[in-house]
Amino acid sequence: MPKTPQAPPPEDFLPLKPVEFLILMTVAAGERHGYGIMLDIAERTGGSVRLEAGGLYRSIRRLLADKLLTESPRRPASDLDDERRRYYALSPLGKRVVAAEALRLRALVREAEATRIIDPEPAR
Amino acid sequence: MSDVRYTSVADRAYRLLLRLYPREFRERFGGDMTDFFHDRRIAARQQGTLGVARVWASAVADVFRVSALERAGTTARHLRAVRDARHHTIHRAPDDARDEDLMATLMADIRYALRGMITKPAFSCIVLATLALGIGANVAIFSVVNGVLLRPLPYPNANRVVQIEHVEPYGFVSEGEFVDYRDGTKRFERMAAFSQTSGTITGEREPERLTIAQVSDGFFSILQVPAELGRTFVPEEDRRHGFPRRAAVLSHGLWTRRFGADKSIVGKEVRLFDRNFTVVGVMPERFAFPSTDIALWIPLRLNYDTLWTRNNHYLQLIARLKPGVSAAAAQNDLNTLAKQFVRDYPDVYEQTKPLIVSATPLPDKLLGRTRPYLLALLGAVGFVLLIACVNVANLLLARGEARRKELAIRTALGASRGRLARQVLTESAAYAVVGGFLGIALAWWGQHALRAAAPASIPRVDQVSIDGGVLAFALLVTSVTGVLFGLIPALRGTRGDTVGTLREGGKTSSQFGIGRARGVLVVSEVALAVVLLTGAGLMIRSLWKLQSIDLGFNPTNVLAMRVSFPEPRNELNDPSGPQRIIAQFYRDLTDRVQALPGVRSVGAVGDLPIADGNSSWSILVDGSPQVPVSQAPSAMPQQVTPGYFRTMGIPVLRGREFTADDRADAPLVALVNETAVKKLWPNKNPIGGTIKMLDPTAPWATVIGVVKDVRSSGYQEDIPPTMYFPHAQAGRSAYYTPAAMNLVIKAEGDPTALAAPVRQLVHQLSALTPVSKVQTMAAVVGASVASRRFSTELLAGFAALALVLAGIGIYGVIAYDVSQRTYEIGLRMALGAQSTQVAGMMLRRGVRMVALGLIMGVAGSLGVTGVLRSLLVDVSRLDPVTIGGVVVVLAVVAAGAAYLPARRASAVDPMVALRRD
Repeated sequence: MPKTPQAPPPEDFLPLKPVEFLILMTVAAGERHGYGIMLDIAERTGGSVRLEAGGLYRSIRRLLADKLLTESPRRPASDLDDERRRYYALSPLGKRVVAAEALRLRALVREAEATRIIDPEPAR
Repeated sequence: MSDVRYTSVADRAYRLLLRLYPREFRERFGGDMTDFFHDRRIAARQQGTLGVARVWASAVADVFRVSALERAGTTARHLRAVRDARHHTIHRAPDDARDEDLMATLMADIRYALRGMITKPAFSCIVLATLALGIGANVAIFSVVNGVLLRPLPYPNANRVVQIEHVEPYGFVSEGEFVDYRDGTKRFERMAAFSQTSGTITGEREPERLTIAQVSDGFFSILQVPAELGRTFVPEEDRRHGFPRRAAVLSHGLWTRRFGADKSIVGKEVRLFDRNFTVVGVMPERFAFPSTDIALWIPLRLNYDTLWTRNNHYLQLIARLKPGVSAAAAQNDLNTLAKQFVRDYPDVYEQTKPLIVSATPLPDKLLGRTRPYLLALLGAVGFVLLIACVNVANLLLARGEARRKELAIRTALGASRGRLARQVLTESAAYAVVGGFLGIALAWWGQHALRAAAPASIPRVDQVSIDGGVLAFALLVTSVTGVLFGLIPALRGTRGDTVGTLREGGKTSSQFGIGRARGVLVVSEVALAVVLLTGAGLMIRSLWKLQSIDLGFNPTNVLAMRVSFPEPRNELNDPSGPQRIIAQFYRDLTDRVQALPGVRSVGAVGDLPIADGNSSWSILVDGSPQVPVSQAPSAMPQQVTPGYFRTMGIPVLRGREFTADDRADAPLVALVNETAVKKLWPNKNPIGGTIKMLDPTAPWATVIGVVKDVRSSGYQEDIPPTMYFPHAQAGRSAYYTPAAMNLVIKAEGDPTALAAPVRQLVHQLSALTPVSKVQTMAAVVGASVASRRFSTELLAGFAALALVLAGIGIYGVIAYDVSQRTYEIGLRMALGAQSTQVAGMMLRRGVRMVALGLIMGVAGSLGVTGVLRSLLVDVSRLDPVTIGGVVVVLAVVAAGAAYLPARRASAVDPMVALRRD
């Protein structure tokens, strides 16, 4: 049996570009098509990050090349009157990477709280 | 791409826009992006038209931005590959099999061409330098042609305005003739008269001598140029009586220079001719009619009730044709009128001197003189470009040779001939475009240099620039150039003998096909160079002949300046008072200047030879009884001080010249020139003869000497009979003593050093006397041939450039020939041929090409130089000296260019040559 090549450790991909982190986080909640990713990110960031087609798909291409995302074949989208769209999903590696990035960001925030740059937030 | 058929126009448009992306990206994500756009557009409908518009704007901007980024990324990767692959001889050629996508292959071809340029720096440099020179020279000269000739004049519909004047000997138009022309024909909307004069402006600042135009009513409305400030004249201001206030219109230059561009100048007064004039307006900067010297315009104020004598010709006329009327029809009317004048006034017009009137459209009048020179230059520089194209085509052909193997392989692998030709053409186009840009940069610099070096006699040359029209021309020239030199290599190089090339390993020992093409190119190059050199040679000979014409005086080390002594007031209504003051002033001035160190002699004259126009007065000789004007002889008058002839080096051939003893109250004397003697005293001794003005009250003056003819108007004009009067006596014998005279000073050394001391002397004698037009006589003489000399020098420069390019071309072809035939040479030498024989063999081909080129060139120049006929002086266009000289020069250069590589052939080592495959 040919040996499957070892997947690179998630830490190799850190730090993620903010846009990439947002995309992976969106897709972590479930498969999305491009328009859906854009809508989700706009909602999450309260409208401050609005992606356009070119930028979005450049990032998607990079994430696909790094194997953090996978492509799903086209199928009808229920929220778009059944028109067919291509879907993107998180790969296992991608799942690990986005988690690692979230942890990294949490550690940074904790550091900022410890040095009183911001006030600590009570655990919810 | 997308499975969904998008039927809406918007989506289809977006998909079309996506073509800006590289193919790879487009094929992968194009469908998704179109879906994305579709969804956004639909969702934005809820926000109305503004929302949809915002979506469009954002989407389009995004496409441009990201597609550029993607393409830059691709190019960066390729350039990195280039850097790594520099030492490989065969580059990865564009993928031939998949060439449905035109845009991609074009981009690939362009990258390939640029890559090729970078990896062969020496070759590219030569090609680009040759192209830059050829294109740059053309653009530079065209910018001058455009700025001077093609740009519309600042006068609207200028070709509907004609300038009317009489042919010599009348030259100008008299007041009576003006009125008769104006009233006698219905072809003109309006006609106006003008006259140039000079006057001194005084006032707060230093007195200044100005050139002034006196214009009649309608002058400005004919030219249809409104004043920049204030207004131009109203009809009342041209009337002689009943309008006390004198009006003046300033030129932009005078307004800026003397009045500091004062916006409130309108209504202020200026002092001219010792009278007050009210400024009513200022003309815009570009308005310079009748000449660029004009500082201001004042009304002519003819006395229409009592017109000046019909014989006094001093006016020029302009008129605007009525709509629909042709200039020829108007000319006919004027001709009829002129003939009628001669019939109606036999006392005024001599029957043997026909009155010929000419109406010239304004553009021809203003630009007509320079046009032939500029067009000749444009033709010359076109030839240079052709020669440059030939050289580049030769170079590319040679390059094509070297790549035959590569192209053969690609043909075998399936590339169509069209595809290959397209690639070769793209390469040529790339060279043309880069060369074009370099050429424009060169032209920008060149056009600055031309502007600085161009003589002032070329109209509007200070306004030459590289504008849209010139850039369009540059684009045209670049495209034509690219096609010209690109076509031959593309056709030749892709015609493939695939099997033969591959079998022989890429080289053949005799390539008659390609060799003939290059030979034809060289022959044509030599022919073009011959034509250009002949044209330049003829112009040079013309210039030389012109400048060797004896002017009649010696301008060396002579300084000239205009001294405008203000007319003294005629206090006691006695004309002799002011005249004595004027005469005394000039006597004192010349005495003082003579005493300056470094002054050899000094004199003064009314009209400076070459610089000033001349007039012609009717006279009587030898006690002849009074006759009407039409029957009286005429001569050009000059008022001179003693010392004038000595200063100007004009020899006195007989008798004596004026001395200080020829004072106002002494017996009246006069000098005449040789032409006057021939006309008025044929076969007689003029000394002791008498001469007087035609006016019945004028006294007789005795002729005391004969001086040499002076070419007063320039090299080519006829010399009129001339009469000289002593300045001190001119008030009695020649109507008046001129207060404004030209002072001429002969210096021991450099005359310009005397300018300041003499000026100071003038001001010591009379503080309010302006001194103007200070220049050396050498400069005055030079200015009269400035246009011709300028264009001849340029032409010679281009011819030299063509010679160099042709020499390089010949050298290149022979050298290449030698390198291709080393095997054959080695073989011959091994078989016993002498090195000289081998060299001779290589030379023979060159000699054949050059000889053929010379013959065709000489034949061509016989045809082409007909264009130059109007510019040649005393030189036939078939001039054997010029043609012979050109042939010799080109033969020598060609021989040298062919000899060097041929000699290398003889140095070939047979062993090395035979060992090469």
